[in-house]
Amino acid sequence: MNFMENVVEITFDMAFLIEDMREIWRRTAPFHKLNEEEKKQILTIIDSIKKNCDLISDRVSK
Amino acid sequence: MNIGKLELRDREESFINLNPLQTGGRTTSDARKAIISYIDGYSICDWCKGALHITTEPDIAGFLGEVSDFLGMDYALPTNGCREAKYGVMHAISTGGSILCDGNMHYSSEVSAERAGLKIYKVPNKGEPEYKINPEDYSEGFELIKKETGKYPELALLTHVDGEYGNVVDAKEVGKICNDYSVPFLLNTAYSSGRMEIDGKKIGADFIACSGHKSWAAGGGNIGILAIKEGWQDKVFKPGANWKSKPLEILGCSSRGASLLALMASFPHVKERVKKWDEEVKKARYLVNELEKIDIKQIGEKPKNHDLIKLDTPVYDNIAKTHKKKGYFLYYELKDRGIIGMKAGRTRKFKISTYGLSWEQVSYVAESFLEIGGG
Repeated sequence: MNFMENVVEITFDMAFLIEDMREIWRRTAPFHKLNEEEKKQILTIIDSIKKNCDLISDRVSK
Repeated sequence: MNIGKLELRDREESFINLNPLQTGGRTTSDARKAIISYIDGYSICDWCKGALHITTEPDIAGFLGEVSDFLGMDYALPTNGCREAKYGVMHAISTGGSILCDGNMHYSSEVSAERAGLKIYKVPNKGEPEYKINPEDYSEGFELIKKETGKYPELALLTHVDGEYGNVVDAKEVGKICNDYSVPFLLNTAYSSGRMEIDGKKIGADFIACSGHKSWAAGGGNIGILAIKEGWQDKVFKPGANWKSKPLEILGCSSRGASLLALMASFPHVKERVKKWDEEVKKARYLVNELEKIDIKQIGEKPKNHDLIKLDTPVYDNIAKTHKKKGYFLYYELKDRGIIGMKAGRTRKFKISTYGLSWEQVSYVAESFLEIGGG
């Protein structure tokens, strides 16, 4: 995989993570009172997005 | 938040949406991921083999085979919607004769028949309060048509679950009558397949029309399915004279983009969710039971066998008479509580759906309606 493909794949991965987060908001509407598992899921998604952002940041900064 | 001049649509994320037209088409996250990836025009045609239904990358051909099995039928094609599936059958069958339809059919069935040049006869519903379609009345309808025209109809159509009352008709009984009379049977499953299990062979259907965006958790546009029984492919899936891979009734290739991919991505979830249909019915029954504690009456078959619920609600109509927001008060009261999907201004009769809601959400909806009604 070349440089750009990798960056593109990471971008899609983030978009897909957002959809997973969106699914939790749908499931818990309208108040979004999250149970422990849902809280964990949201934090894992955020963590993965942050890591992906860092990866892209590193790649484009080189 | 806006997207250019468009308002952001966050109805599914920020509210409990009760709109019966929308609850079964609420997408899965996999469907939305597929839509994001395949959103560009003709995205499905990257590895075109000459026609949509024989495409193997993505594996549309394999998917259609799975869908046929899932519906208990033999062949399937993607269509641009359920109405296009119905019209395809009617157009292929019609020689200008007649069609017998249920009186609760959707308008798109009627205009499809009209466009296909079929004279429309109806099996009327039984009127208040349940508005049921009696399967046995199909025999009577066939005989009436024979008496009037000298021939039995060229096709019979049944709306398995109608969009007005959410009544579930005994399709197997209608199928048996159609088979006895040798009248081809088209089953409109816009509100049933994708929600509940459907076995076309057990029902005795020759054709099944499905709505992906209404009941199969698909979005990204319109998408339907036409499934047929062995023996009909030469007539209904007939190719063009000069285009041997292009079925005429879907004009060669129907849905050429994200909506078909959304349907394919949601399919594994749909196969699982139909197994939980009994739970969906329980939620609908629970809500009706709660709401009828005040001056609200459910219209249509009782007890409910479907999530689409039609209500007669004098309680809200009476409040509207003196409320400063008049008939709009109910819409805003519900919206303030995070509930939408009702037509603004309606207080006397309206339709809602509990499909896909959690028990917690259904309980909250019940509490909210009762609170607004003073119960």
